[in-house]
Amino acid sequence: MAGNSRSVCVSPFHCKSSLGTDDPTKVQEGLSDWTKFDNVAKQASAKGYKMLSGFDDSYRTFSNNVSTPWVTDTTVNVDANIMKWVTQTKDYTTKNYNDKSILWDNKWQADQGPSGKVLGFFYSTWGINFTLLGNSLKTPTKEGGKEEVGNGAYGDYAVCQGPQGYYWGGTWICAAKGTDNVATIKNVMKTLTCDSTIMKKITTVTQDYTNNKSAMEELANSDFKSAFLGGQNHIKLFAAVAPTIDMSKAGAYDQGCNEAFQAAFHDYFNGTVDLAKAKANFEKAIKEKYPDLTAVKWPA
Amino acid sequence: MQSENSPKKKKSIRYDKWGYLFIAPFFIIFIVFSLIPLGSTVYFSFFQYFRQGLKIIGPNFIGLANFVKLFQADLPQYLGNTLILWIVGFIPQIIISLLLAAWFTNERLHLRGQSFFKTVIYMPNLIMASAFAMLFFTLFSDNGPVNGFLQSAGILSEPFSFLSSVIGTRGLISFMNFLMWFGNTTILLMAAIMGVDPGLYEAAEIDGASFNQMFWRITIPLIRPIMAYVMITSLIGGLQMFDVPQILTNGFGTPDRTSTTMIMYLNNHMYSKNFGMAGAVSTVLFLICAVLCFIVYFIMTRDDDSAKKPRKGGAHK
Repeated sequence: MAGNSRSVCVSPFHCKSSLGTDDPTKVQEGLSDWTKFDNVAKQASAKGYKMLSGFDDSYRTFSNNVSTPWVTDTTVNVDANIMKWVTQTKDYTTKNYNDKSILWDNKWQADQGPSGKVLGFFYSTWGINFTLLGNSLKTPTKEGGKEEVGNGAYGDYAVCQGPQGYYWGGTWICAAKGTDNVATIKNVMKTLTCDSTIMKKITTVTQDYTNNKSAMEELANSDFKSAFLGGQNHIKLFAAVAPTIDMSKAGAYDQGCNEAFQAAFHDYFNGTVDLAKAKANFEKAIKEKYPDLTAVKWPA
Repeated sequence: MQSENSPKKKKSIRYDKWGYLFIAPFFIIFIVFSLIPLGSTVYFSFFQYFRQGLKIIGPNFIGLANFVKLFQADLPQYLGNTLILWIVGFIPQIIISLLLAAWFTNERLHLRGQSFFKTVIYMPNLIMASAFAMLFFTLFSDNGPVNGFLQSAGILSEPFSFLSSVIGTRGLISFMNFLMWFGNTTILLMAAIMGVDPGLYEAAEIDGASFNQMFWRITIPLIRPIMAYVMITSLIGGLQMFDVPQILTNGFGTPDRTSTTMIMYLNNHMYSKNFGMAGAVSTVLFLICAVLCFIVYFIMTRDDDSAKKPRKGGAHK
C-alpha cells in the first residue's frame, strides 16, 4: 500500500482578538514559548478569560515534540515532554485557566462560539474551515445564517504560530496493493498532489493548506486574505512553519497510546484519582489495546 | 374377510415428521449462528489469538493463561460494577412495577385512563438504548439543560459534573435501565396478577382480610413463577449490560473505570481483535450467569414451607 499526502496539517494557535491587540505578530511575541504562554494564561484569567478550552487542547504540541517514539520493541516510553503536558494541564485546571472540556464534546464546540470565554484553540489547517468556522457562527448555516462578519465570532479569529509547531492528521490518498487500476490511481494521486493550479484552487476555495510547495508559496506571497480570519493571510504563516514539523518519531502505536494516555489522565485532572493511579490506569489500558506490549517506562 | 392368523395391518398416518420439519429451521439457524460460535468462543479462550496492526498473532495454545490473566486484571472489579449497576436499577424497578401492577388490577381503585398509562410507561423500552444514552449524555453534560435548570433555580452555583462523579454516572445508568424496563415488568406482573383466581380474594374478604394481607398472603405467593422469570431475565440482561454505559462514558467507564461492565471490558479487547482474552471473558461471564440463575431459580421455586404448617385454630387431624 502506498500513500501520498494531499494536505498538510500545520497546526498553529488560533486566538480571539480580545488579547488587547489585533496584530498576529504582536500576539505571537506574547506566546512564543511556554513560559510566556503561561503568563498570558494568568493575565487572561485575571480578565475573566480561559486560556484553553479543555484538557487535550495542548496535548499534541507536547506529543509531537518528543525525543523518542512511543514504542521501542515491546516497551512503551512515556516521554518527558508528555509529562510536561500533564503538569501544565493539572496546573491550568487547578488555577481555572481551562474550561475542563474534552476534545469534540459539546462544551468544547460551544467554547468556540460567540458566547465562549476561551481565548484560543490549538487547531490544524483543516480546523479553520472544517470546525472553527461552523462553531463560531451565532446562527448556523443550516438555520439560514451566512458565513460573514457579524454572524457570531466570524472574523474575530486570527492565527499565530504559538509556542511550538506540531501536526494533527493530514489527508492521505492510499492505493490498495494488487490493484488493477494502477494508471488511474497514479493519475489521481499526481493531480491531487502535484498539480499546482488545482492545489491553489482548493486552497482559495476551502482555505485548506494543500501539499504543494510552489502553489502555497505563490499564495503566501500574494495578497490572499481570509475573511474568516479578519483579513489575515494565514497561508503565509503556514508556509513558514511547515518545514519545521518533525514527523520522525511517528509510529504504529501512536493512536492507541495518545487516546489511552489522554483518557487515563482526565481522571487525574478532575481530581478523581492521584498521579500514581492515573499512571497505573494507563498501563492497564495500553496492555489491553496492544497485547504484545509488555512494559511501560516512565521518565524520572 | 379377515383370516384369524394374518396380523391386522393398520394404516396409521404418522404426523411426527411434519413436527420435526417445522421446528427444523429454528434449530438449523440456532446451531449455525449461536451454537457453533459459542463453541468456537470457548475453544479460542484457551488460545493466544490477537492482531498486531495488520499481522495476526496465533492461534497458539496456551491453556488457562488467559483466565489467569483475567483474574489478575481487575475482573472482580468489573463484575462488581456490573452487579451494582444492575441492582441499583432493578430494586426500584421491581418495587414500582409491583405497586403499579397492584393498582392497575385493583377493581376497588378502578383507575381511569389505564390504556394511556400502560402505553406511556412502556414507551422507553422502545427507544434504542444507545439513542437514550446519547440523550442523557447531552441532558446531563456540564453545559446541558439539567445543570442550567439547577443553576437558575438556585440549587447549584456551579455546574455539577454528573459524568465525572462515581455516584452521578452509576446513578444515571441505573436510572436509564429502570426507565427502560419498568413498563415491561409492570405489564408482565399485571398479567400474572390477573391470572389469580378472584374467588380467593372474595373468600379472603369474607374472612375479613385487609388489602395488605391479601397482597402479601395471596397475590405474591401465587405470582412467584412470573417473579422468578422476571428476576432471571433481568439478571441475565443486567450481567450483559453494555450499550448504556458504553455510550454514556464513551467506552471508558469513567471515572476511574467505576462504570466499566464485563461486556465493556470484553469490548476493550476487540481493539486488537483479541479473541483469546475476549473468549475467556465470555466464558467466565457465561458460567457466572448460569450459577446465579440456578440460585435464583431454586430460591424462587422452592416448596412453600408455610403450607405444611398446621393451621392455627383450625381443625387438627
